[in-house]
Amino acid sequence: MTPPNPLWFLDRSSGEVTLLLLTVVLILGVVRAALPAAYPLLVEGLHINIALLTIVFGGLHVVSAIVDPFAHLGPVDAVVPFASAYRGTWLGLGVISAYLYGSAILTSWPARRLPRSTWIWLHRLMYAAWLLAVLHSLGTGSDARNEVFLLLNLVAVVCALVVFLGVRVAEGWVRFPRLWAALALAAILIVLGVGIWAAGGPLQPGWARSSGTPSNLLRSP
Amino acid sequence: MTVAAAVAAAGLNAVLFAQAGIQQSGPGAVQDSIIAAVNGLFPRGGLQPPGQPPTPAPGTIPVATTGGS
Repeated sequence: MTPPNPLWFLDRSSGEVTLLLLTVVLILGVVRAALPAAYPLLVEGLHINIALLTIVFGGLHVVSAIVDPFAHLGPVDAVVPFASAYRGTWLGLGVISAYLYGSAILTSWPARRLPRSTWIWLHRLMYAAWLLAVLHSLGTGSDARNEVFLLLNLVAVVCALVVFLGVRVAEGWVRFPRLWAALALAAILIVLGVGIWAAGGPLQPGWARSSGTPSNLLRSP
Repeated sequence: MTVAAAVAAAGLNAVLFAQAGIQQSGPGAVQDSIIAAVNGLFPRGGLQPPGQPPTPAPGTIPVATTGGS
């Protein structure tokens, strides 16, 4: 078994930072959509700049994963979902998340070229991109049980849920109470579902084997 | 604020890098892996773990450094 090297640690740290930045981008986007009059230039400027910063760390995450010799990942694993021999399902969710995130960025930059309604629906894919990134982090991440990584993931999910409920749902509730009540309930159920799944899966011993880690990379049989 | 966010992200990345390495391999292994990577990039740099005695350059006579003045 090839021992882990700094690139393997860099891959994991940059992946966690990418998820946290993605959470900040999501929160700023939610605030911008729900409260358009609240510091519009500041919120939108930060939303855009941190979205670009997320690409930098996401790129570092992908490149270090490909260059690192530990998990034997290649460029194909980074672009084709579910093709990887290393935790393929969970790595594939990260690839799809990147595509969804990329579509939200490319349709917004350098200028919005699509009709506004189309752009808004494409931009809402960010919610799915973020959720898939959380699942990817827990499912693929070698650090799901690392206290620091786990705490950061927990903070990210709680912050995103609180802002969604407290800002987006509160704003939409005034006009369409039933719709936003259903969306709020769905958000709570999804977060609860992820928590229950994580408690019974990635946070349990033996997840490395059951998540699809090749046997030659497992520390013990 | 963007610059502050970038600096904070880079700092957090460094902390998590060390945390991931220490959790998996212990502090010595992280140090050794970084030294191995630096030596891979700069093979003539001569970077060595702190516990290891210095290696004299080829052709030089080692000088005893024990004792003090």
